[in-house]
Amino acid sequence: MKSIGKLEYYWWALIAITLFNTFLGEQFDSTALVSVLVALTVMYKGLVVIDHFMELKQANRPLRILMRSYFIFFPSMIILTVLF
Amino acid sequence: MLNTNTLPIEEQTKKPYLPGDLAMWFFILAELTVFAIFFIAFAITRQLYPEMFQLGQSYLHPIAGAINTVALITSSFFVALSLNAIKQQKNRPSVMFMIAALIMAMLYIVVKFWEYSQLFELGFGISSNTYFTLYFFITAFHFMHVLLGMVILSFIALKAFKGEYQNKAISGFEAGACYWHMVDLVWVILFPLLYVIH
Repeated sequence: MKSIGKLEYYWWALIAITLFNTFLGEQFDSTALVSVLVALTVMYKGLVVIDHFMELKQANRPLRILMRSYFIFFPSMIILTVLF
Repeated sequence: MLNTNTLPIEEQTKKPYLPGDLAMWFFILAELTVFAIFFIAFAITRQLYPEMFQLGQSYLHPIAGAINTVALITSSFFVALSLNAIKQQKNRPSVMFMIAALIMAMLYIVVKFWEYSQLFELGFGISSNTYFTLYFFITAFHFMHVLLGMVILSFIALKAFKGEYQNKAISGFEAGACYWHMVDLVWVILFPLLYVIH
């Protein structure tokens, strides 16, 4: 069970990252750096939701690995597409 | 070799905790696989038609996309709070958090309708070009999942209101909550893919 304070902290972090991503998209033409930054923040957001909102951090290990892999794979693909 | 018979009985029988039930997790993983195919299709087509995608993206509203992202993340947060409350046998706060989650989901629906209407007014539709075919198909598919999620959350809220989640029998609640988090997770990838990365 999560304490409300911890969940609130993650919620604020997710909102701040979303606004930061929007700012990047609005203010900058898409450069490799912007795309890599966005991909990394997407990875972080996904992992936070999986671990703390879905409560998989202390749960079934294979399921957690599977879910986390999804959010490591797709942002990594964005980075690879930008770099190559 | 470790003789497991020497371990305490609680340790021998302890299984890794699974929020919700296994069937829902199979469903969630199947849904994520379908969305994965869409993400890959979108990324490949973007590589093939970069000018078309850049032009198509210029007609979207990143602020609307950001509002929708905030709405779904906040909704997910309220669902997590609602689950926390029900685990402590606090039915009333749990229902209130669930209603807050549904209001946030409703905000997503309204903004998405507004976005679609703006595009239709400009003369864009699902058959305009490859970009808009993918845009409408992927977002409408996600939209359907939001609607289904809202039905599930409403059902859970009603059951919580009637006090049917007593004695820690909350597997159904957890399963519905995990489905809703999955809907949020998909949008976490869709938002930068559609609105942010040019």
